[in-house]
Amino acid sequence: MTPVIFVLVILGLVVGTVAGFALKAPLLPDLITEHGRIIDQQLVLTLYITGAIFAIAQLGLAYLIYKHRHRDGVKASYLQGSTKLEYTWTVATLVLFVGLNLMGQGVWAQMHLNEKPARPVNIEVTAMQFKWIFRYPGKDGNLGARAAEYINPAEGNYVGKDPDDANGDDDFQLLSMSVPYGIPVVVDIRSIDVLHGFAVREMRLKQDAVPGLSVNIPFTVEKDGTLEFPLSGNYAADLDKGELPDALKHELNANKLVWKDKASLRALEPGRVWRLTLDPDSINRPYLVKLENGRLNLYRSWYELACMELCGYGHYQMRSQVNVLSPVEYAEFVEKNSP
Amino acid sequence: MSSEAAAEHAVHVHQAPTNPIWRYVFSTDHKVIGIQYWILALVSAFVGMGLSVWFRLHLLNQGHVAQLTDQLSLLVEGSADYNAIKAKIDALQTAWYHMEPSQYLGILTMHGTILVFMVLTTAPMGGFGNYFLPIQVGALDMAFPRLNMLSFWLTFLSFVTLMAAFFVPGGSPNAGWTGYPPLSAVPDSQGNGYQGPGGWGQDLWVLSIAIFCFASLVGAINFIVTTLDLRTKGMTLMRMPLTCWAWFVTAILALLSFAVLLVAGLLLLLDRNLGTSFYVPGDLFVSNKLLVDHKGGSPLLFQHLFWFFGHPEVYIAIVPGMGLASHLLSSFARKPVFGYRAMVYAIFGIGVLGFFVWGHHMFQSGMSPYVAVAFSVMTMVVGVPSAIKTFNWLGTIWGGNIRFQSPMLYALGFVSLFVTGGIGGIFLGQNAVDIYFHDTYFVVGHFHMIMGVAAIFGMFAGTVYWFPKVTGKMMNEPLSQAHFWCTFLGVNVIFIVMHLMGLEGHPRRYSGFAFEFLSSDYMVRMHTIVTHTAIFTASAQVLFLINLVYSLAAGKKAGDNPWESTSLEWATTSPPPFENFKDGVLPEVHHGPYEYSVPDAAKDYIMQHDPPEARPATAPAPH
Amino acid sequence: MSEATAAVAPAEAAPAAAAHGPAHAPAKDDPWYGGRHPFAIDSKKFGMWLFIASDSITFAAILFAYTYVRLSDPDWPLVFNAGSVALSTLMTFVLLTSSLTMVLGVAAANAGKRKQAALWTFATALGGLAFIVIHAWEWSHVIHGLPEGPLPLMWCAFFTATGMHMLHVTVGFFYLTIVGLAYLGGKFKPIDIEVAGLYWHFVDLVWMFVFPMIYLMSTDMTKGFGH
Ligand code: HEM
Ligand SMILES: [Cu+2]
Repeated sequence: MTPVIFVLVILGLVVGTVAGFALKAPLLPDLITEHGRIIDQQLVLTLYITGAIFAIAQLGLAYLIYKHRHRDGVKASYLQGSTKLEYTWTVATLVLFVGLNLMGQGVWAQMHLNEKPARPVNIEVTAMQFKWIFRYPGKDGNLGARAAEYINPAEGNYVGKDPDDANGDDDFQLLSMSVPYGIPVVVDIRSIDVLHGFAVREMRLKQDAVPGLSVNIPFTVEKDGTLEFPLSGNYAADLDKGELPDALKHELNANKLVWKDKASLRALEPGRVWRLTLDPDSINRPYLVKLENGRLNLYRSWYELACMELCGYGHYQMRSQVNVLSPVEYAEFVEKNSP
Repeated sequence: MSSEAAAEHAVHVHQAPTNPIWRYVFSTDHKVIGIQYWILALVSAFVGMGLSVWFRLHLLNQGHVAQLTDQLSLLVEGSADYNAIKAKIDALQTAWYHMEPSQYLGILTMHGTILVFMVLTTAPMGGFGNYFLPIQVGALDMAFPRLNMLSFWLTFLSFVTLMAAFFVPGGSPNAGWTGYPPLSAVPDSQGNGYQGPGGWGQDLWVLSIAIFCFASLVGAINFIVTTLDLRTKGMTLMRMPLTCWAWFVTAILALLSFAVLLVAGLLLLLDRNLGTSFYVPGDLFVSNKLLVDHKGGSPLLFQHLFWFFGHPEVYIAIVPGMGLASHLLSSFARKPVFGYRAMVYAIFGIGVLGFFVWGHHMFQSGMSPYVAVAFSVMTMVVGVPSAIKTFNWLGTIWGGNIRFQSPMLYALGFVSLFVTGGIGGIFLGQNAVDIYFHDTYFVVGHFHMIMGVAAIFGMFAGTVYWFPKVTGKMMNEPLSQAHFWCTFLGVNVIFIVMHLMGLEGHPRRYSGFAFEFLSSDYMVRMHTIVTHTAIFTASAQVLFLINLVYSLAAGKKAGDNPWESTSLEWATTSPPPFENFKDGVLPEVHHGPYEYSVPDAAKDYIMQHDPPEARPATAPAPH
Repeated sequence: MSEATAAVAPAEAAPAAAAHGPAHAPAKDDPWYGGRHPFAIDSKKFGMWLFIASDSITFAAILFAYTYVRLSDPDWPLVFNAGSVALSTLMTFVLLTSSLTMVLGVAAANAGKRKQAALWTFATALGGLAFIVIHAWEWSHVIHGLPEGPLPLMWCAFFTATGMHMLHVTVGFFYLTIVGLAYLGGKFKPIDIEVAGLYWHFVDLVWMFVFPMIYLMSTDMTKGFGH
């Protein structure tokens, strides 16, 4: 009886686990960066390999449990081992594990070891309890110097921007991050108090922010947005006029997209792509409406940025967001915000 | 001195003290100390588990609050629906298990610290190792009985110190069980202008760990000397049960790693209290002002020191369980351990390689990315001996004649859990993949699976297997089995679901649901499953308690060797006399530890101290 | 620990085995080389070696921490001058001398010269005391000369490393005194002196790392003798 239960439980475990992973749709959150694709490939490859190992090992265990359950009159074999087998599985696992690992080093090198891209968009990320501050270099492309002595909470200068450095004159800082797609970006991640962790799920990016250290990570966002849901009506004509039809509003509401103040709308490519920004004055959540294959789809262009290293009681609410803009929009964004 | 005289001498000096204080409290008898450690671990386990149920309830609650708040935003303020939902939210926010964010972190930190140190490090070594290492190698006691007593009482002091952290002004420490500075090093840094913990709790935490380090060091010395020096005649190294090998390697790991944790803690204490700056860089802006009394240190230094200890520590927790699993699989499959030597080499391999992989906890820490590559490759290499052990466990039951008694169930459960937990390691050990998984619930799932529950299954196995030896009574088999099934099912659900949440990107150590992706239906559903299963599994532990009490009071009487095992503890009475073996005469060993089903032998097992003739000349040579 | 250990210590048990075991050395293929217990090494001595292994790691970790913070600061200050080197050399000399007296003590104990051994042991303890006194004097000087503001990392490392070492010397002082007295009184055996000696030599050896790493590498000889 017991061996049968055991077999059934293990069977349930294997089926349940495999189903849990297989049925999870989507398996991973949306993906928007270039390096993220390689990470995902590596992750999924590992998932297949280890999934097979998992199933074989657990089912093997169940099989042996059943096959060799106690039966009267049966004597166990006096088998003490097999050197040949030991060598075989040692070498096999070594090759498998190390090989798998080496396959992943390319993307690691791309993110950490290779030379940083030439003329990227530089963004300084400053983490503090419990918020993120993003500083942009303005039109000149250069960030002003910073030093702790200039930190001045009264003026909102947590970054410690040197007021006398001319490079900093057109710098501007915001509480959320906007990046262009298709252009390499380098973030300079730092902290002014305790450890924090910069992480955006959809970017497959994670890096601790360490006080006293500044870590540069390059990435390129390769998508302008990720599909949220298809829209049922065709509002193209209204959208081109810059009007948000009530039907669309209802449809968004029905999908739990509610906004507090207002929405702004403009055509990025008239007749084809429109930028819909919800709550432009407070949280600023950019979406895209695209006409594809004769129907409209709603795309999301903003992603949540989370703190991933314990930083105090407010850790769980240390939230910001990354907005993905078109290169043109990004240029306007810099223009608009530069003092 | 003749051997009789030696034995007499032994009996003479090794008499049980008559005063109960010296006999049962400040005892130098390794058996009493073993039981003391075990009880300490049991109490700690229940405290730690209780805390986890508490914060699981809180989390589930917060998930609902987040979803209700979402609904609220769709409704018109003041409408009936609105008010109803609002009332629901208020009720949830004032539930008895609701926690403030800082309190949540405090409880989380205590949970981790209590379980890692007071349970996973004490029971397998201090508990079972203390009781059974001397008996299994055939010794009268540990090499240094008084130091042994010192180890236990230091551990107890460490426990009391840690518990005190619950009650001091400012409350429990809340920097996590890993206690990363600057959060742990700068009392002001617990949150901008927030009047919360950051006081004595963190100091007591460091102090408790420092005391624990001492206790473990002393214990480790005792274990190593006992293993090498006190084996009885005929107990060659390659005749030691794998449990002894496991304790031996664990002791070496403890000897070399706690020394570093001690320094990590010492420097933290100095940074907190005496104005040094090992871990605190200059120019920190905390509590709305620049911190002027520290300069120049590095938070990463702590991480290096901590994980130099921390990775060996995870093996300290699991290796004794591995040894016991091998022992039990062989004993209950009535078959020699498959590849005894390979098992010994693998344990050693794990021990040695385990010292060179600590950086895999720091891939994303800002450490040099070149070093990360080296650590990553080493990490995958250390996976190999773990895999070897798994293959050999399967080999051990292959061709066996398995008796499904409760110790065997737990041992088989151990193997299954070890496989599942180890697989998470294959993801995390790859620096590239770890970019996605670091500090998510995937990591939480991984280490609970393997270190949390696999190691604890080792303890359950040890408890049911040795209970008859220690008390002279059997544990109740149906109760044990019921406990096994409930727990095995429960933990699998809980921690596999946590892997899934990690796949979805859920950050660890979050006390609330301030993110949109956290209050998605999927996440809240997963949280619900986890919390409900956790309550179920925690309740199932009552079966274990009942079983202990019931069996102690009314258990079936156990013979000397109820499981028909071969190692030396079964060669003495149940419970063993004060001097371990009758009249303190040590048995002489003639056989390997796993002589089951030897062809042509009279019985299906040959005990280690059976006379040489017990093994027929026609049988194949032992390994 | 002593009595109970004695019961199981190989030193006691080995002759017993020799008495009833074969007179000849065990054959190479005998699965058992030793007597009743496998190794002839005394448990206490072995235990002390293990303690030393562990304690070296502790010091190694402290010196690692020092090296780590030092390497991450490009302009690490050289805080010592010729005067401090002279003083620390004197301390080194005192400690080395005490190692010598320790050797003599152990030799005397093993030769059965009880009184002589105890005297050498006390001399060693005195050497330790002298070291502590000089060191404490040096500390008070350093403390008085500390700059305002946060404690510079150099001094953090200095106080931690030398403080930890001084703690070991202090423990050693009491340890040697107690062992010497107990040996004189006949309670302890020569092996106890030897084990204490092991500890003491280790403490000296640690200094041989602390001295160059903390003092010599942080010295600017051009600064002369004053402070
Ligand atoms: C197959 C071999 C294993 C590999 C390759 C492996 C790999 C890893 C890696 C890379 C991490 C860090 C993940 C991160 O924080 O991003 C990790 C975390 C952890 N592992 Fe493993 N592991 C293995 C086996 C084990 C075993 C046997 C144990 C314990 C018995 C264990 C216990 C832990 C613990 C406690 C943590 C998390 C510590 C924390 O951050 O709080 N692992 N593992
Ligand atoms: Cu690790």
